[in-house]
Amino acid sequence: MAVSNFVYNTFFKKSSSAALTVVVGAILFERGVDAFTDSVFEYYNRGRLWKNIAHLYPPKPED
Amino acid sequence: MKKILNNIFFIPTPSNISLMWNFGSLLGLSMVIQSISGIFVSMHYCNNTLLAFNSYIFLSKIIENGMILQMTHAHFSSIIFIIMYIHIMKSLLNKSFNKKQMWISGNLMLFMIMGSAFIGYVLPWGQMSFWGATVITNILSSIPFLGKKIVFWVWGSFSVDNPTLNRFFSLHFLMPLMILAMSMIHLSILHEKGSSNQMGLNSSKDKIYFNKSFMFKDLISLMLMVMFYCLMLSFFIDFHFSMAKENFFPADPLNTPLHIKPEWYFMFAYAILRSVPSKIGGILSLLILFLLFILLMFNKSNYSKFFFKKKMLIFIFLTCFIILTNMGYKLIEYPFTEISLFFGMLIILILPLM
Amino acid sequence: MAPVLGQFGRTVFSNFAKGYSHPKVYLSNTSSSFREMSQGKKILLTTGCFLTTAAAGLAYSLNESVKAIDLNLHPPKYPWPHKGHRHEPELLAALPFRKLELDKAIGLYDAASLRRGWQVYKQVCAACHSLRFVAYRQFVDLFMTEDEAKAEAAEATITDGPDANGKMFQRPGKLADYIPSPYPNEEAARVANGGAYPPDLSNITVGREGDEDYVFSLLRGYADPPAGVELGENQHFNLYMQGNAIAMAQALYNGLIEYDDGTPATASQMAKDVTHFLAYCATPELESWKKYLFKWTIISTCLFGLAWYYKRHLWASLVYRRVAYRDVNKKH
Repeated sequence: MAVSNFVYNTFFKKSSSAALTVVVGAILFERGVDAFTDSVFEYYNRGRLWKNIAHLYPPKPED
Repeated sequence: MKKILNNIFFIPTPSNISLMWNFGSLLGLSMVIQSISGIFVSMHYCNNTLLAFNSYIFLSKIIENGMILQMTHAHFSSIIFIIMYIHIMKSLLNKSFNKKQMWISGNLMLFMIMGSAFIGYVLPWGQMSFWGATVITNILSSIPFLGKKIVFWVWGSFSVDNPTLNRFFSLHFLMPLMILAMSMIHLSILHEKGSSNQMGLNSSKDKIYFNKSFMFKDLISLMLMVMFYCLMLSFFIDFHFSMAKENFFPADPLNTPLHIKPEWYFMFAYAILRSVPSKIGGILSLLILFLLFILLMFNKSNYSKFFFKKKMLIFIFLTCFIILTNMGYKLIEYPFTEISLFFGMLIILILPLM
Repeated sequence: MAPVLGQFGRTVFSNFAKGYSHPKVYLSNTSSSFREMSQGKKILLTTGCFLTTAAAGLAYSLNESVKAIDLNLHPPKYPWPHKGHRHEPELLAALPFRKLELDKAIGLYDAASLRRGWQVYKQVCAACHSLRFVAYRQFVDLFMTEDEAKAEAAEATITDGPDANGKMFQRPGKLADYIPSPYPNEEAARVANGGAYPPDLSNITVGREGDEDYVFSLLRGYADPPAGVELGENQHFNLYMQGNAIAMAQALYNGLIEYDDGTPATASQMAKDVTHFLAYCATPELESWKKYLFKWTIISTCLFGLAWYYKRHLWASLVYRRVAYRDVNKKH
């Protein structure tokens, strides 16, 4: 109850601060979703991506 | 400005319209998505026959996120047709075709969307694009005296060739702007006359503001559509479902593919066209179907959707439509021509009864 | 009109007072509802529906049998990294839904397989088939380092624009170049291959019915023609080709090339690798597209949940309205 009161009064009472909260929240949320997506894809395809096999092909020394 | 906002946000709306009424706004939003993705696709498109296919492949493979743009544009055309058919089914069920101006503007939009979808499919200039355009524009040649001349005029040449592609691109760019104008007319007529509701009754006593209540309801259906689209593409449907297999190779006027067929949303019309042995007969059947569909607004139907007779008619209509769509995929032989003839005649005959 | 509406209105409101959200309307002078029909009509209706369903089922089964007339052998579905059914036992055991193709949703291309596939294409297929829409720069950080890709490009000779004297000249390739075609145009390709045109492979895995499974099965589907089958001069028997006659001879044999990572180069390994590579060529942006779809599924689900909750919140006072009907004409 106290938490929700605090959240409402600081972030959502005024329209301007609510808008700011929404924008910042969206940016942070998207960063989080991006990181989550990348981690899911890298886990599921572990061992098959280029970054996993790049170590097998080290750069050749200049002849 | 305030007047416009008043007209949008504070429209009195019946309070009991169900989710079926969401499809109108969803269509508008999908058209916006389609137009925006279309603008970005057209930035990279070249409408000359020598370069069209290459530009399409370039967009799809080389340009950063080009595949997303092109796929969105291609997939949303199918999505728009699904939503549009459901929207039309809603209007048939709820006797909305008696609102004459709404019906006429809606039908105009239907034909414009069908035209622009057909033309849009020609633009990648793949095998199916070229041959589909040839088959469908050849329909015009069956007009009794001037057929051939009209066809040459439409083509700009003696076959589907560079001039045809050039004018198709301009038309494809122009038509959505006309559709946009038409949809604003459609919407303003609706705001003048008021929405119908699912009881079929006069709802003057029970209206609420459109603001907030229905905006969020429309937002729900939009989010549901996006979610549905993402889930279906992720798990069930192949990414390239909107393009026939032959369309991934450049158009070859000397090489006819085995099965020329349009997209799924035109299949019912294609089945009716091919069901009658003579060319002019098929075209006349299709024209009669569309004419009767437009003339539905003069039907004096006293019964609402709760009546058994109406439910039966709608069921038969839906069955005919689904069977005709399936028949469009089949070869022109027994029993498919007979089936499409039967169901084509059936759908034409029950339209005046609805 | 008005009395009918009035009767409608009364029944509507009284049903609404009961608390249904979709009240039913009965008009007693037309047989509009099922329960008011006579016995005979009910039997007729039920039989009619049953017969319609039976007819639909018959039509469907006839349709399915017609499909078997098609003389094409359909290729089986293989577990591609980006498309098929995954067969890892521990993953399948962990998931409640086994049938769902997770590979289609979040599977990406196998970089090692792409590397081997490129080697197969370069050494076996590039002699006849062009790959016009793939550039060497696409290989960088996909299955090659930048230096390796530059070396690959430098092996190819590209005809480039007029020099200072106005003549076209040959130069070694750069990263920005597209893979050069073996023949300058279709006619030259036909002449060199006995009238048959080796199609450009950039779109082959999406341009053929059956996608990657078809291409793989085709490469592996060569057999001796059965007794009685006559082939033309330049034709070979293939189980999966439409019409069973293909102009391309079998190209992949065991040990034909050597892979640089040491994988044994069996014919089916080569076929799988080259098909995987061609699948990449057809859809290079698959990885970013799938990531976008995944992201958008999450975002749209969250937004849908939020929107649904808020809509129900806004509609709460409306949806739970109850109407009390008071007949003003009745004398109390």
